[in-house]
Amino acid sequence: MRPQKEIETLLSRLQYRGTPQLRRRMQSHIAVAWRQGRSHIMNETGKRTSRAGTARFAGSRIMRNSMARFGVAAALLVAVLLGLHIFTGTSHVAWANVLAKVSAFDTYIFRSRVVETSGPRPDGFDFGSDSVSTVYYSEQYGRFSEDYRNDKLFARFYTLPDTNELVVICYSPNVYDRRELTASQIDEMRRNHPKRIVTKILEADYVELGEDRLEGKRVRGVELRDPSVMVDEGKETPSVDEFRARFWIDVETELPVWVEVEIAPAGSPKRQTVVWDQFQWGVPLAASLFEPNIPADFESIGSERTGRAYSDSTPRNEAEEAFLDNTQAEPYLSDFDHLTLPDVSGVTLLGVDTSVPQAELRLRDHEEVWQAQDAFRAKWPRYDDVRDQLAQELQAQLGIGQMTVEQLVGLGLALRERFWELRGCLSDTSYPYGYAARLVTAKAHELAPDDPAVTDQYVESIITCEATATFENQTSERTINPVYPGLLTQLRAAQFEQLKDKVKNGYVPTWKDFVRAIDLITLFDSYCEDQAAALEVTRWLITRAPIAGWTYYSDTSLPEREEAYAAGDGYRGGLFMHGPDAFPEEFRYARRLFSLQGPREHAQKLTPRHLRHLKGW
Amino acid sequence: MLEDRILLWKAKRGDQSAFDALYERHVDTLLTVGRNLLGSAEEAEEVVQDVFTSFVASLASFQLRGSLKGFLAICVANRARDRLRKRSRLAAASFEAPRDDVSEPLELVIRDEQISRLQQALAELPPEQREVIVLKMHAGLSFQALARELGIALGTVQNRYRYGIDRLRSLLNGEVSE
Repeated sequence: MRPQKEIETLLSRLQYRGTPQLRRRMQSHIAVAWRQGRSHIMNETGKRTSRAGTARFAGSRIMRNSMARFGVAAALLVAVLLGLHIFTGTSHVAWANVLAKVSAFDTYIFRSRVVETSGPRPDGFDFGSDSVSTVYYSEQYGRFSEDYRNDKLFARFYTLPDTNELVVICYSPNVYDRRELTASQIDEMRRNHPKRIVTKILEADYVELGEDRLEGKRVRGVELRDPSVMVDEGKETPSVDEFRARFWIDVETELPVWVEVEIAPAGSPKRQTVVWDQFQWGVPLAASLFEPNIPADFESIGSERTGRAYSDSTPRNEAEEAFLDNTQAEPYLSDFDHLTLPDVSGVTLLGVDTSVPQAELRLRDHEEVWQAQDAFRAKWPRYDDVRDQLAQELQAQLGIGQMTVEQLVGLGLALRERFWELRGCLSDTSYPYGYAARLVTAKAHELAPDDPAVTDQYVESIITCEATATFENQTSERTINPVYPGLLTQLRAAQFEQLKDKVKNGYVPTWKDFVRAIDLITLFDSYCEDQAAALEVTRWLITRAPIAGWTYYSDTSLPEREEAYAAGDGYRGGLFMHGPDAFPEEFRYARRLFSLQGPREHAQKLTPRHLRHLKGW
Repeated sequence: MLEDRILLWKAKRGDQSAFDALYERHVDTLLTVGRNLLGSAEEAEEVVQDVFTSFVASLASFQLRGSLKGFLAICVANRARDRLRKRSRLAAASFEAPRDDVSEPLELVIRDEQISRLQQALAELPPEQREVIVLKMHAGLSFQALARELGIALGTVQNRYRYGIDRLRSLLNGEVSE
């Protein structure tokens, strides 16, 4: 009888290799798949129904399920057991030496790469971002990083605890910002860097990953799967489905050469991976490296003068508290939320077949999102060219000529929801519904021209389909959408005139009036190049701030606007609305006026950046 | 494993040469797994090609956990299992006997009488035993990893392996006649 070892040895020799013809044949097929799967989104939007576009990786389902079954508790148990084993002396690396060496370095340089993905979503999107930067870290001076996009320097970030300052210099466009560092930002800088992660892993019950090779060097790794180790005492451990922190050291130098952290939030297909490598441990870093060098011709974008942090705001005065009382911290709820929306799922417009499956899209960063939107929109007919046909179809199917203002608004809301369901501006089939929403809310506006809430609905319908401009990049001039300096400016200007008249009669402006006015200022400034008009509206807002409760802005961006417009200059920056997280998919809603609500689900998540704490975000 | 990670990073950023390098690193292992599981060179080629094609499509959102070789091998095994099930439903074709066909697109790295007998013996194992043995021997997956990825108990994996090896020993020693 042959012993088991002999059978195993024989089995290990039962190997095949492909003939050159087979390898060439397979590579040719895979090259085609590569071109289909990786080609630029501009070339594939709307026609990607190929196998590469729709295929699912067969293994991923099994991997995910099994990972879930494996569970954090089991992983921890294994980690603890293996950790004990390691400490009893089987390791060839003295991890204590690694800890001692790393702890001794006060300065180092490394490359940082961050990949985020939403994971494949039911609507066919997979949004994500991908960033690369070189980081210079000094325990004495702070953190300086250079961020790259497409191998070009995009921005420099200086996090400077000594002067309590965060400085951002952006190279596309050439702008900068200086703002006060918050305690949480300083804390984040101190916590989120490789030396701390390595230290935390080594202080915990890690698992050895064994020996491997990295760029020709022998390396050994360890892994930790317990996220609570990374959390400071007294703070809550984030709920995650998966967490892995790993690093590998060069066996010769006993210094980390690769550190990575993977996080999958609980109940979400999202995933973030951070990789740090190309370390230069202990390299001397001069103080001058951490002194921001802002080119003279770069323009400030915001908070330099007051230095107040965006995310560190609490109600500080009576006006702000009044603002919160007036809005119940839900400043963006629709005026028409009480309406029962008609079912428009059976409405067919312009002969567009909405049952045609949409291509799956993997979009990384705002550039890809905006380029894809422009590519889709370029294929849509113009609103003016289909308006009459749409009006006839809407009359025939829904009888819009006999509808009241409220019915028209309700129909507009339903049609916009349908537009977003069909993937908004990243779709071949959504536009008839966006255009139809514009048509019916225009009718409502004709019937109630003095009702600002109805005008808001009309504005929302227009900007739902229309971006401010086609995608800008460094090599081409942007082309402004004429509806912004035209119809939209007229609508917001008319609302402003109505507002001024009402205020004369004792009306107290609301947050929505403020948002409408900011839209108008932006339209005057950026699209009409009428800084005098922008200045007039800005000054009006500043004088009304104490009674209306937008003191946060009267302390920060409004005076900056006033100064810029008085000098005849433009102003960059605005009114930042946020959801619970600013994931790249939010770029779908950019390139419109600040007032954009988007689909209902999105609108309910919006709140001004300085009030995010009210929602616990 | 780290080399794989680096190549993956590059491939995710659109570097086709990095993907080609990943393909070169693993294609023979996957062909070996596919051929040993399916007994057919043509089907092994189809399955491996399918896995790589799907891998390209999912690359942007793909996150590597464990070894890439192990992951790809599991994908090959999943597809091979589907094919074997389809075969048994159709009851049309049995496990293809090894042959010395000149048009065979795969070639054995080592050719000798023992290996030929082992090929035949492996083909005679129940598919689930063959799967565990092939994945362990050629994809380097541990029993724990196999249990996790195949969604079965650790003891079941170990038993399948042990019974499979015992049966191979018997077949190679002529103790079992079929």
